[in-house]
Amino acid sequence: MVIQTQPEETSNIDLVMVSSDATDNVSAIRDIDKWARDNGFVRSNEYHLGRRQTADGKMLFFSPCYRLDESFRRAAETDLARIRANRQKMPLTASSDELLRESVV
Amino acid sequence: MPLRYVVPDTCAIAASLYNELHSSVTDPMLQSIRLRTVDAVAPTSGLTEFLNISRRKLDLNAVNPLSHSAVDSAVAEFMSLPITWVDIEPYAEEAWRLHRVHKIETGDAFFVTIAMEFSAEIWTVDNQFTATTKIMYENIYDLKVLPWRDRY
Repeated sequence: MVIQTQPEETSNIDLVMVSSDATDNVSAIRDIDKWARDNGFVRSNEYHLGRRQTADGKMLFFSPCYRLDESFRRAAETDLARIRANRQKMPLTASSDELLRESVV
Repeated sequence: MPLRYVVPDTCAIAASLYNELHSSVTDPMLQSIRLRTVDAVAPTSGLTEFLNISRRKLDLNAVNPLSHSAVDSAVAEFMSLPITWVDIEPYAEEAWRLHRVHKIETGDAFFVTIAMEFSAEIWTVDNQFTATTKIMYENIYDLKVLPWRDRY
């Protein structure tokens, strides 16, 4: 369960730290992802969340979340255009599923 | 936008970064991940898989080997994708069980266990992975046979 955001009021900010009192890292990820999506944010994609402890002894996981705004979308579109351009310059190569099955991992 | 977890198969991501037969059907997946319309999670073993695929792309004995600079760029793009890479150690026993009971390849089994953990959709272009997994985990989608516009 998400128990705290810093700052508390998030309607006019683009970056927020969200904390969960879940008992394990993955549950905290799910908590914070849910809060983020419900509030127009996304969580940064780290796996090992930070930990902190409140004055009354409660252990919390925390992660930064940022708002999906127009500047984010522009950056993503630029990245996608570059990836597509690079891909189109490549010759056709064997399918990765075939290559992976032949590889020793 | 509601929370929607997706586990992208490494081969599907690779097909979106390299020019392959199925690149056109994996490109919308890449877009969804990069634009964060979904939350992508994947096992850390996917990192090894991608590097192995990339190594094979350089193979001078292959048809159309790629240049080092082209592969280096693809690796850099892969590493910058917003994917949460999940440690696999806690899932190893369950992955082994899935392999023993359902004959899912051990590498694929980590993708399935993590999809189960996050109640995620698995997106793939791998026929074998889809066939072995569909029996025990319905939430797997072969992007080749499921036109993107019909679902996404």
